[in-house]
Amino acid sequence: MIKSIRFQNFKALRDATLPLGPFTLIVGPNGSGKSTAMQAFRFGSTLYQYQRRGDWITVGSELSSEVAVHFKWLLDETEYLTTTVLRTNASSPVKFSTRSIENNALERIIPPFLGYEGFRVFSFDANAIAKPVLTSPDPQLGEDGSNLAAVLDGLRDSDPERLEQMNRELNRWLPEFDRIFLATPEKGKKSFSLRTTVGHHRLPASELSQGVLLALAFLAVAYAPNPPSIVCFEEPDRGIHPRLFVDIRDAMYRLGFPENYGEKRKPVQVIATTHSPYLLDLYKEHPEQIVIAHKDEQGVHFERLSDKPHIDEILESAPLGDIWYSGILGGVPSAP
Amino acid sequence: MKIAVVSESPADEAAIKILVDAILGHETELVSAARLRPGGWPQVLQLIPSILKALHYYTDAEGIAVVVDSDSSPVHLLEQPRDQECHSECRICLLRNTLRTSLSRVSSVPNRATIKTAVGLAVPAIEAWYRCGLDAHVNEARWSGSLAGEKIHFTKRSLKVDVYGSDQPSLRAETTTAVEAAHRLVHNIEQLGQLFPSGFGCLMADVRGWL
Repeated sequence: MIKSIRFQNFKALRDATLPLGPFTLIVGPNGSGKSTAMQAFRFGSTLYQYQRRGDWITVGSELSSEVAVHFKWLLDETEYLTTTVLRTNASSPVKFSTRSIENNALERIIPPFLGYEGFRVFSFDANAIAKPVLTSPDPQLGEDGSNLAAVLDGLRDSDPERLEQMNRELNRWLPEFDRIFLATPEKGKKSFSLRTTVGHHRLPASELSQGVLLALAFLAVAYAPNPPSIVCFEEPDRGIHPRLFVDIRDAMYRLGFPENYGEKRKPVQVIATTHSPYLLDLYKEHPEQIVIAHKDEQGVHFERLSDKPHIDEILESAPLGDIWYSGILGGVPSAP
Repeated sequence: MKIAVVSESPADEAAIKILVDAILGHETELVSAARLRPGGWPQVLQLIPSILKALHYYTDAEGIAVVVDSDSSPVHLLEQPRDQECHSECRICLLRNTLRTSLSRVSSVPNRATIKTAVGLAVPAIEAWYRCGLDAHVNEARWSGSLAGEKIHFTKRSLKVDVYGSDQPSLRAETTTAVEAAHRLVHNIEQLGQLFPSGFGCLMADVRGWL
């Protein structure tokens, strides 16, 4: 599990440390580094892969002359600090280095999250989710939810009981549908449709609403038999009716706390961002799971809600979302 | 002096800050503009304890001014002792109670004085205050009469139209008009207190008590 990430000169994050737990929900104003933090995950993991291959890489001009991302992580009850530094100068290509401060033998202790398979950022897009896809031997859900038909098809073949569980959950979330169906619109391609509970009509993905498609992609991640070890969701509430937020929360908890949901697999570290007071309301009892991104003249900094003094007293009389929206906890757009 | 202003909209807050400064006779510094989710009175009442505690623990605010619209709730009875509710739905009494209870529950912080409080009630809405000096018929007594069944010529909606030219003004237009009106009222503070003795009078008395 990653315990914290320190960003230096990474876009809006000049020097900011993001504390993380098994489940973390980041709230803050636009431009406060929530999405940038997600990009930094990709940055760290991509650089690590390049380093392992001994490659040189070129980066975009948006990076400043020296960028560093420090991952503090916990593995088998031992803490490690892995630093990825990227330097540029006018005459040479970009080079990076990664080292472990706690244990120099980094090659023997590869952080499990620093590989593409072990780390995913999801920012779902309804159009991408609905598209028919080419079949492949080991389909993975794309970051925008693309490839969903192939993932569902793979699940049907490899773990039909799990797909059945997913069908039941789909029906609980969206009672108007009771079953996922897969089809082969042309050779080598897969598409999906949902069956209506009343009348048993099959609605192809292209005719499903945006919210239904987003919910389905969410379910596919939550019910994946072998999910990545770290999963990030950018605004998981986007396009979803607020009444389903509790189900979205539970889907994320299913990943993060599998034992509570009858799953026999390792917990997934879940990191999500939101602007929704309604979603935030659901975490009032767990301020340790909330991180507030503050943006001021000094730049961006992150603060775990439970680290605020007297926070229990402040939260006792109103919904967390309303309290956050008011601005008294920080993490809101500055007043004009 | 550092203060916080809590009201039902950012436009109201901008105007109230100007009026509070006028009552005090000097300019204050706004510590926190708590911005509430649109929801009016229930939002204000529910969030006041959290806002007050956050001001106490996290800021050096010395005072908080809270102003809400009365809508159709009763107008506060001035002769009522401060520690007793004049009516179970009187918003001034409810706010005072909530503020008093919340302040009694905070832990002491070294070198931190108790936050001073001031409560106002715009009858029936803050736009009535903005009509002070422009329309002699708009005042608290007339509204009280309407609550007792008398016919009057203004409503919350008509006041909005009179003030903003529309009952759906943009926030920007609302704020500009509110600030202009407040700057005009600075020269009519006493008249405002006379026309709205419960709602604005209470705010004025509370704020003067800060001095």
